[in-house]
Amino acid sequence: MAETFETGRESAGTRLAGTDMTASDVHSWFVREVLPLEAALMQFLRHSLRNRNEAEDLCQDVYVRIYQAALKKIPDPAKPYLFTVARNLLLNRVRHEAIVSIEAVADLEALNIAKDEPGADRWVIAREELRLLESALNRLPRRCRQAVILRKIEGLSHREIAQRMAISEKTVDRHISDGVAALADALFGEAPRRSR
Amino acid sequence: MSDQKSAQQVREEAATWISRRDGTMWSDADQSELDAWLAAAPEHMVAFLRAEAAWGRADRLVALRTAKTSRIAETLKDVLPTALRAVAAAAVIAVVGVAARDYLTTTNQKTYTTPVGGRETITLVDGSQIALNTDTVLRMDLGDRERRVWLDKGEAYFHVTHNAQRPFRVFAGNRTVTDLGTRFSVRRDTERFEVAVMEGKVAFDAGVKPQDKPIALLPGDVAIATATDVSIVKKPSRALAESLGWQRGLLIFDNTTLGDAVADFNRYNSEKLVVAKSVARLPIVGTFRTNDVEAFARVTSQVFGLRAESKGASIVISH
Repeated sequence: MAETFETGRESAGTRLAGTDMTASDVHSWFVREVLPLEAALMQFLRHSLRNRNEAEDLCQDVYVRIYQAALKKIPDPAKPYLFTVARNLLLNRVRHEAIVSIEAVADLEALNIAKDEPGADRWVIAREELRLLESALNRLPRRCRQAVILRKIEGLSHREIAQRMAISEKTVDRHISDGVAALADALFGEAPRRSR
Repeated sequence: MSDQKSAQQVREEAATWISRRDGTMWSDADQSELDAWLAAAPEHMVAFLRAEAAWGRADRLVALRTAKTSRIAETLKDVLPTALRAVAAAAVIAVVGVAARDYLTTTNQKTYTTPVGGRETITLVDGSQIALNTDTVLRMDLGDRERRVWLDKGEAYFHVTHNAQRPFRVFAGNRTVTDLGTRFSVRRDTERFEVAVMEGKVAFDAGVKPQDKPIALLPGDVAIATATDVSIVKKPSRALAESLGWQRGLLIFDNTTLGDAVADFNRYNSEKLVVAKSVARLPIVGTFRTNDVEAFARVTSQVFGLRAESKGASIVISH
């Protein structure tokens, strides 16, 4: 638990070649600046890709590109860069696959999401975030929800949860991991629009 | 890139790693295995960062702690072996002091104390309840004609069964709070004394000047007294309820400055938070477990993009 303040691990403390950043700087930047843009990015991608899985795959590709670019130099501000990468990847796809609808590449300006408004997508609205988390919690399957409640609200360990629910620790791990995935989608994903 | 694993698969794998690391056993070997997985592909890393950030922020769910969720944890006591039960109980509340059952037949003074991070609820025979917050010393003398309590330090919440024939008074130094049928809380710090009324009415003698008459405080009134001064502010009931979050083991902040929030946290923990002057005025909104300094440091540093570093027995939050 001790290392949880920073997303970086031990190796992340070493300087990246040719820069004065560490991998850990890049990780915190990614969490702070890029992840909050996911809802807008998914909205943009879904405009061209009807299929949710395709949009998620492309979102992941965008993340990989921007992450790798950041290891060399952090793009600041993140938002225009992210959407440029997204558009280029979409265009590539259009060129390589014939199965494209006429509106394939949505117009960034028309969607009015690539403008950089500092703070607009920030997470500071704590009550809103709690509401998102709560509704995600309520949508979890019953046993999974119970495990997440015991872990996050009552602060029990996996072992204590296993005893309480009379299941194996392995099963607890699985419930928790389903919970992690669902909460991540609720917080970052496209589903409910965050304020603004 | 269609030959890759789907984003969904990678996200599920990342979630599995977060859950494993969150679990009871996490060895160096596990860590190496995770490092190898992260190094294997950049999409692993981004998915992991995403899952890790979400799971960390889910700490905020603690705000939903209610009697109901606690009951789920409570029933744990029937199932767990004694040793584990003790651990679980300590995690939820650290309780010390004397059981309430044996003092009521006597009029002798009894002393109740809680350590830093502890809390305790005492139920009196007349149905009155007193909840002691962290680091509190309280003495009680229940006579036939008068019920008297001395708050030597700390904070306590009183839900008094009113009896005009047998008044209930709280003394703190030269200050007195007299119950007139009510729920109220009293907090005594070195420089400052505070009475907040949730329901009913109390008479408050701030003891600032001898000739001063007691002040009647009504629901929503919060009286703050220093050595020379008394002021009374009106607070909405939601704010008052939030200030009593400690009874559920919670600290609830609503536009509290980071500096004040940290001061609050430090009342409950031996591991102290230190906040740099330059960020002390940032406003915090959120709910935290009183004993979870790490979660507080992590959430605030993530939200504001600050650094939280362990230095000896303290955690320093800065730019």
